[in-house]
Formats: sequence, structure tokens, C-alpha cells
Amino acid sequence: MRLINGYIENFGTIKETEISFSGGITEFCRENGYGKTTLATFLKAMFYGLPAARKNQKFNDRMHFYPFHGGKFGGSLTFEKGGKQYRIERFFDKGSGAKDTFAVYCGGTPTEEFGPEIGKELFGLDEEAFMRTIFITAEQITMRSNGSISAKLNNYVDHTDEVNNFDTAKEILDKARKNLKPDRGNGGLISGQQDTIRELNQQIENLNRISDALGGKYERSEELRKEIAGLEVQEKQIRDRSVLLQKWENYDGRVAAYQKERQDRDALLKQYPQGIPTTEETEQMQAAWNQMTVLRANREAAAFDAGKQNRLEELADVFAEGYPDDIRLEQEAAKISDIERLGYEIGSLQAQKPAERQQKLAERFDGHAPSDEVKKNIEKNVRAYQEAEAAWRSANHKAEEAALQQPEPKKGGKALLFGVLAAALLIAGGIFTLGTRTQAGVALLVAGLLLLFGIGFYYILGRVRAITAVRPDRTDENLQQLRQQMEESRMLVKQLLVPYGYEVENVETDAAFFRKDAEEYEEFLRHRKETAAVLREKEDACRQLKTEAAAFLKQYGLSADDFSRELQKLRSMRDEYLRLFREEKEAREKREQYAKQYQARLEDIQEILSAYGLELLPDLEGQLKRLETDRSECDRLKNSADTLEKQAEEYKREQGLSARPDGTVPDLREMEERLTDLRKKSAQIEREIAEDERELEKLEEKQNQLALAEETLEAYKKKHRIYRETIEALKTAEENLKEKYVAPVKTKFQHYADRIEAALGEKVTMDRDFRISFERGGENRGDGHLSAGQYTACALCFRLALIDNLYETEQPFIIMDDPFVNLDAQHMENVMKLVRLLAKEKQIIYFCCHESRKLKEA
Amino acid sequence: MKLIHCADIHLGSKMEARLPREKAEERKKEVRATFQRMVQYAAQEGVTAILLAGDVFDSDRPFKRDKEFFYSVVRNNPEIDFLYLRGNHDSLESYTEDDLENLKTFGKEWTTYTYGNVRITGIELAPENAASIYSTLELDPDRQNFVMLHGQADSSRGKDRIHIARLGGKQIDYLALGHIHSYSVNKLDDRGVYVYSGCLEGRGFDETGEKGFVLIETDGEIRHRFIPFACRTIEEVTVDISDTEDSYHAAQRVRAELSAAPDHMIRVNLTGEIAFDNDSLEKELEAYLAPEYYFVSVKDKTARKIDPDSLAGDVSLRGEFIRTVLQNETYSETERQQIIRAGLRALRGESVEG
Repeated sequence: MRLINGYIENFGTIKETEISFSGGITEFCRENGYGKTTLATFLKAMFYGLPAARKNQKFNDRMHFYPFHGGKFGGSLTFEKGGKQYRIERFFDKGSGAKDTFAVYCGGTPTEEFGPEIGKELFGLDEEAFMRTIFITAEQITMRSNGSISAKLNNYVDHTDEVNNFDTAKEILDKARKNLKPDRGNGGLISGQQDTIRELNQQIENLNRISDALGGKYERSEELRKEIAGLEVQEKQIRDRSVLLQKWENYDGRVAAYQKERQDRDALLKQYPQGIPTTEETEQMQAAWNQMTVLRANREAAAFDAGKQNRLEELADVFAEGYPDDIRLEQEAAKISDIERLGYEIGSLQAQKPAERQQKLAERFDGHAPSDEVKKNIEKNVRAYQEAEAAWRSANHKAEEAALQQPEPKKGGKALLFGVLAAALLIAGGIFTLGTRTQAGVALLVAGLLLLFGIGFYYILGRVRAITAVRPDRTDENLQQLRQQMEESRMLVKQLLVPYGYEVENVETDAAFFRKDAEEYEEFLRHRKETAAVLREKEDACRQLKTEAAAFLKQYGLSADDFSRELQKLRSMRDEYLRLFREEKEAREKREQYAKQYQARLEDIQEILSAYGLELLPDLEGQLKRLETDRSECDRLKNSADTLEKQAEEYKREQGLSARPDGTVPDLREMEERLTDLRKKSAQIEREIAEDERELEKLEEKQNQLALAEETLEAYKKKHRIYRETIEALKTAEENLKEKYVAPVKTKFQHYADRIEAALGEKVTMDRDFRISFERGGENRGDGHLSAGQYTACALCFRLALIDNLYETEQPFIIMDDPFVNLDAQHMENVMKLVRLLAKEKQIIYFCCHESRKLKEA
Repeated sequence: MKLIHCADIHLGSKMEARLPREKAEERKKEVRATFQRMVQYAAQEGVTAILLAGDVFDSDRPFKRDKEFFYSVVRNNPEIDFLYLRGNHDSLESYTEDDLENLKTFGKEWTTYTYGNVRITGIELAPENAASIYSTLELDPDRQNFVMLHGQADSSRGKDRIHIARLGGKQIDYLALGHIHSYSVNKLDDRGVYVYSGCLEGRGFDETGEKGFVLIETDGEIRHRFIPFACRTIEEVTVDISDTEDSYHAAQRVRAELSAAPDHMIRVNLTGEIAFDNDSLEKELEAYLAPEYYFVSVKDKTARKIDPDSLAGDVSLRGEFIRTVLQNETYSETERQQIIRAGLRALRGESVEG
């Protein structure tokens, strides 16, 4: 098979690129990053397609080479096979393989000669093996002497980096196998599990022994149970008989009990030959006694208090002559009230003092009212003064009137009128001319006004002079005389009034004051005299009343210090006396009544007792209690005897006591001891059974453990066998692999070794274990003596031999990815020779990144 | 009149489901409690007699405490008759000497108890009577005839076997059987049916499904119905986890397919071909499902998915190894799976122990 050309539409970084392949070497000398891997993957993808993108797969080829810039993902590849040209056209979906398109054309026409797995159909290998073999890198052929070609064979075909893949697997399995069972010794899981099983079997055997013994224990338990049951039946029979006898004894005891009660009652009744009072009577007597007790207590409680008695007697002495009744007390109270009132009034009168006015008047008049003579003189002189004054006034009036009747001078009247008119004219003229001739107008107006003011002033001055000109003539003789008289009268009045403290500025006024003061003082003196008379009268009356009140109080031994208090005391004493007197009487009456009732109850009791021939004893209470006790005991004994008799008969009936058995109860002690012993033994065996059963509960667990251990052992054994068989299968596989691939590889290697000889001048051979040797200087030398170049050439030959064998049907192209990068110039030259030689037989696509490693130019 | 037909109580039996010790103890208590509840149910329903068709006890020599429990239940329910026929498990020492009036037992010869028109006849199978029981059974055709036996319904006679055909035409209305732990009803002849009540409680994953007893009413025509009564059900589910990518997805699929009630005991069988290795898948799934059920057991019965076609082009040691194993006919299918799993792991450099 030979590649012709290819077209990469879009694949990874490569876009719309056409590639032509020559028949021998197609060489690409490009720098790193050009896309050698991309091109190689493209070629593989054309033959084998691309795996589907998977969610849990980080980055597979489909995802890796999906075009960076989008576009149709894929391309086409044309190759020649069997003289025909075919073109594969594949385009890929981004994720799913189902959406990929695939077609193969032959001579431009679609052909179904090949399916989508065209690679497998052409080369007979899966895609992994394909890539492993056709892609040759520097690392893959740079083998050193530390790794034999033999050991590498598997790795080439298995695509692993592990030098000894088979050995590792074998070691793992061997270790696991020996872990289960070592080749020597007794260790290992299988042996341990066998020990566990032995131990469990031993434990189960022990438990089974317990289980076997348990049967005997069950039997023994059953025997004991039966024996105990038999003895219990016997014991029950004896106990039943014993119980019956005990019941008869019980019945006899009951009969004796009620008979005893009856005997006791008869003995008691002997003390009462005429019979014993009935319960009702004893109750009556007891009730009467109770009442008596109460009556006695009441009588004692009703006794008059000694203190009160003493007080009553004291008061009786006070009122030996009789006690005052309320009327008398009220009379005395009224009298005392009068005394108090009079005392108050007397005090008030005595406390009265003259007022300030009265005191001043007393001082003015020196304690005596002015005499009537003085008062008459004053009045006479005052009247003289008044007359003189009146006469003067009349004369003066007449003089004034005469002066007023003289005519008033009438000069200047018309002048004034004219003046006013002139002023009016001037003002009017000024006003009229003011509009036409202002200055003249103003002058006229001012002149008019000034004239008017001047006239007014003159008129007023004239009137004042007229008034002041009217005056009487004080020098009139009559008037003078009258005036003299007035002064004389005034002086006389003054002489009379000055001793009483008057200034007498105005005769009439001061005389009036004297008149009034004198009258007021006289009235005061009269009133003071009347008050003194009243005071004397009241003091007499008060004294009389006090004498009477004191006499009244004295007859009851009371003092006259404080009439009201003493009278109140008297009233209290009288009231207390009356109250005590009444109380004493009531107490006396009550006690008499209680005494009567007490006697009546006593007679009631006596009546009942006498009916039974019983006398009243001094200790009546004790007598009654005994009677009641005896009566009650008598009744109790009767009731008790009746009840016990009834119970005894009921018991007899209930227990079915018809015939009294003979004999006595046998002694059960021996039987009880035997039963106790058997029960102990039974309990012991029960405990043992319980313990055994508890122990046997482990049996199931142990059996489970044993089953599990046996299963585990079986599993270990199976695993051991599986590991052993796996190791064997791996060995067989390795042998098969060698058998299948090694011999042909060796033959092919020799084929290429001949080319090496041609190229390098040294003969290389390979034995059946892939050990390489070469001839040098007539000696066969091992691969340890190979130079780097020789070794690379050998490795390349081995690889080519491998390819020849793997691809039996169709030889593929070979991609060399700068495989000789590690060789020096000398070795490079030799290897180049070899590659060029090989290219005659194979199509080689050669990548390098430096001119020095180009092939063609040579 | 009402009757209850039950069997195979197996008091004192060990639990077969490999339960942890605490749960095993709990289940034993539940077995006793369910029996007690059934008797309580009988008392409430006014049941006249309970037909115990064998294997009340799990052992010929039951533990004393189990016997005491059983006889205590009988003693304390005097209004109910307990017709106790011994089975193959409790054929020797199950009876006690206690004189319980309501405990009716059977023997090696036919024994009959009569309740009005109802006659209940039974016999305990033994080598000496295995052949003769068919000919010695005589029933009144005018009565309602119940027959109790314990054994495997079969077409031949023998130890613990009941020749069903030979009981046909014997005027049996209801053949109450014990021994098979699942409820079933089958026609005996034109007149009667033979019924296995099944056990009251399942004990292991071989006793799956609903368990209970049969309630029978005899007034007029005989009517009977199964009463599911177990306190928990044992269930077995098979889940195909093919195409699951890993144990997480496998667990999700199992969980999605389970519909059992939380108090059930579940056995999950994993089947199908899977492409991943996980030796601890059983334990992982058990741990995952444990909180949701009373008890979960998982059995991994899956196979490693291998595409023979893909192997053809695999020229590696791995491919050669798988081809070698697949071609070896001395291996069983399971062994092949195990060898391939171990080999592939080892080739990946992984430990094969786990």
C-alpha cells in the first residue's frame, strides 16, 4: 500500500493543506510545532476514525484535534492498493461518532469495498497497534545495552513503558499466590483459615457435647419434676387433712368464744337482782346528771361578785337617807348652771373698763361733769357773739350793695366799634387784594389782624378795672363797733372753754364740741352707776345659790369645790348604786331557780334507781357511769355471743364441717425435707440446663463462623488456583507471542541486518532470544559492544522486522519523527544510507527539524 | 366455626441468612412474637382450633425455654384448642407431660377430634406407617373432614413423602399440610384441596416472599384464605448491571430497581457483563443499601465483558493472554472470568488481592 496524497480540510492546527507523498521518502523538514503529531493522527484518523468524546474522559483525539477555528473537521486521503487508487473521505462531528461522515472512492466513484473500519480491514490491526508500529520516534529506537531487544518485544506490541511487563504481572500474581499459600512452610491465609476451621470445629464439638449431655439433663429434670409432683400430691393430701382438722379446731374455738361471752353476761347480771336499768333509762339518768352538772355550774356562775357586794354596801351607806331622783338632780344641775352663768356675768361686769374716748373725756372733765352754771355762761356768751356777728354781717352787706349801685364810666365804646370795623375792612381788603397784589394784600391783612388784637386787649383791661373798683368802706364806725362786740364775746367764751382744753379758734364750733363732749361724759357717768348696781345684785344671787348647792352636796359627803364635777360624781354614784342593787337581786333570783331545777333532776334519777331497788350513792356520777358500763357490757356480751354463734355456724356450713375426723395430723417435716432437697436438685439442674442452653446459643454463631471460614478457605483455595492458572496462562501467552512473532521477526531482522551490512559494513545476527551480536575482527560480539549508531540501526531494523510481521497482508507507510536526533554526524551518515536503502522497499514519511538530519541530499 | 392452619414455626431455629449475631437474635424473638401474635389474632377472631401441621420446634430436642414458651401460650389460651401434629424436625421430644386440656396431639395412628360437624384427623408420619396411612384412613362422607399431615407432597410414598394421588377419593375436604415453607393450594380431588400454609416467618434467603397462615371458616361451605402475617418479608432481587461504567453507577441501578419495604430483608443478585473490576462490589453495595433495609445481602454473579472481535487485532501480551484463557476449555466460565480479571490487573501492575 502506498499513500498518494492527502487534503486536510481542518484538523487541529492544520487547515486546508494539501500533502503529496512520494513513493520512497516523503520528507518534511520543519521546526518543532509544525504539527507532525497532528499529521500522523490525521493519517490514523482517516483509516481508523476518531473515538467519540466522552463526558468523563478529559481529552481524547476527537476533542484534541477539533479545529481551533471551527469549520469542517476532517479531510481526505488517497492511497494505492493492488493497482487501484482509493480516496478515503472522512469528516468528524465534534462529539458523537454517529454523526461522522465516511466514504471511500475508487477512481472517483464511491465504493463499498471498505467499511468505516478500513484500517482494520487493510492492516489487520487495531488502531492502537497500528499507531504503535508505524510511528517511530527517537526514544523508541535509542536502545541501550541495559535493555535487551528480547525484553522489548512485548513492550513494542503492548505499548507499555515497563521493561518487564510480564515479569511484573507474574511477580504480583506470585506474591498473591504465596500470600495464600507459600511454597514452603505453613504460613499463608489458607493455612490460617484451616487453623480457624479446626478451632471452630473443636468449639462446635464441645458445644455438641453439651448439647448431647443436655438430653440427659432434660431427662433428669423430668424425673425430678415427676418425683416432686408425686410428693407434692401426697403433701397436699396430708395438708388437706391437716387443714380440715384445723377448721374443726377453728370451729370449736368459735363456739367456746360465744359461750364465754354468755357466762360473763350472766355474772354481771347477778349484781342487779331486781334487774339493770335499760339503756334508755341509763341514758335518761345520764342526761339528768349532765343537766345537773350544767345547773350546778350555772348556779355557781350566777353568784354576785364580792367586789360588787362591797361597793353596793358602800353606796348603800352614802344613800342611807335616800338617793336623789332625776328631778332633784336636774334642779340641782340648773342651780349649778345658774351659779356658773352668774359667775360668768359678774366676771364680765367686773372686767369691764372705760373706752379710750371715755377716758379722754374723764381727763378733760377731770372726773366731774361741768356744772350747769358753766354750761349756761358758755351758751350766753356764744349767743352774744352770734348776734354781734350777725349785726356786723348785715351792715357790711348793705355797704357793699351801695357801692355797687354807682354808674360805670362808658368811654371808648364807639371807638372800639369803629376799630373793629376798621380791622374787618383791613382784613377783607387784604384778602381781596391778596390775589392781585400779594404784598399789599398781606400788609392789609397783617394790619387788620394787629388792629383786632389791640382792640381786644383794651376791652379786657377796662373790664378788670371796673370790678376792682367796687369795695365797702371798712372804716365805717358801725362796722367797727360791731366788730368789737364780736371780739369781746369771743374772749368770754374762750375764758370758759380753755380750762377744758379747747383752743377756741372758732367760737361756735368749739362751743358745739364742748356741748357734745359734756353730754357724752354725763351719759357715761350715768351708765357706770347703773352697771355697778347690777353687779351687786348678781353677786348676791350667786352667793345664795352656792350656799344651797353646797348644802345639797354635803348630805352625800361631797365637797363644794367644783359643783358640776361633784354633782356628776353624785349622779354616777347613784346610777352605780341602782345598777348594783338590781344586779344583786337578779343573781339571787337566778341561783334560786337553778337550785330548784337541780333538785328536780336529782329526783328523776332517784325515781329510776328506786324502781330497780338501787339507792342513790354519794358518788352519783360514778354510780351512773358504772351503771352505764354494766348496761353496755351486758348488751355487748349478748350481741357478741349471738354474732359469734352465728359466725361459728356459718363457718361450719361454709367449710362443710359435717363430721369431725378422727386422729391427728401426721408429721410433714420428713416429706418437706425431701421436697426441699428435690427442689434444690431440680433448681440446680434447671440452672445447668439454662446455662447449657445459653452456651448452646453460641452454636449457631459458631456454625455460621465455620461455614464462613470454610467458604473463605474454599475461596482462598480457588483464588490460589486462579492465581496459579493466571500465571500459567500468562506464561503460555508470552510463549505464544514469541512463537507467533519472534521467529518471523528474527528472519525479517536478518533481512534488514543484511542491509545494515551493506550500509555499515558489519554483519549483525540475532539468536532465538533476540540477543544481537555482530562480527568484528573475525569475532562475534554482543550488543554491549555496539556503538550508538550501530544500536540505532539495529533497533530500526528490529522495528521494521516487527512491522513486516505484524502487517502480513498490506505493508503500511512508516512515519519517522526525527528518530536520529541523538546521533553524531558520522553515525547519522551511516544511518541515512540505511534509510535511503530501506526507502526502496517502503514508503517513509520522514520528519526532522534540522537540515543536518535531512535524508534526500545525500 | 373458624380454624387456623399453620405449620413450620420452627421455634428455636437458627437463622439461615448469615445475619449478624444481634439481628439473628432479634429475628428469633420475632419468630416467637409472630407465633404469639397469631394466637392473639385467633383469640380475637374467635377461632376454635389452631391446626399446627408439624415442625412447631426446629429440633427433636427443643430448648427448654422454647418448650416453656410454646406451652405457656397454649396454657394461657384455654379457649383455643391447639391440634399439634409433630413433623420431621420435632418428632421426638416436643410433647410435655403437662396435662393441658386444650392441647390435642396425634400419634403414629390416625387420631380424630370432632367439633360438631367438623372432624380433624391426623397422623404423624414414620417409617412404620408410611405405607399404611392411605389404606387405614376412613372418613365419614357426611362430615367436613380435615386431615393433617407433615411431609412433601409427592407422587410416591416414602420417608416424609405424601402420595397425594392416594389420598384422593378419601372424602377429604381440606388436607392441612406442613413441611413446605411457602403457601400453596392445589386440588386434591373433586371434593377437597391440599394446602401448605407455609411458615410463619422466613428465616433465610431460601424462604422468600409473604409468609403467614390460613384462616378457615367451616360454616356451610369451607372457605379459606391466606393471611400474610410475618413481621418482615425476605425478598430476592436480580439486577442486571451490564453496561454500568463503575460501581457507583452499578449501585445507582440496583437502588433504582429495588422496591421492597424498608423492613424487608433483601438479597440482591448482580448479573450481566461489566467492563470494570471491583472485587469489593458486594460489600460496597451492602454498605450502600444497608441504611435503607433491615438487612441486605449482595451476590456478585457478573461476568467480565470481553469482546472477542476486539481481541483479534490485539497483538499485545494482554490480547494473547485473554485469547489463551478463552481458548482453554478446562476452565469453567467463572474460572475464566476470574483468571482474566486477575491477569489483567496484574498486567496493569495492580494488586490482585482484595
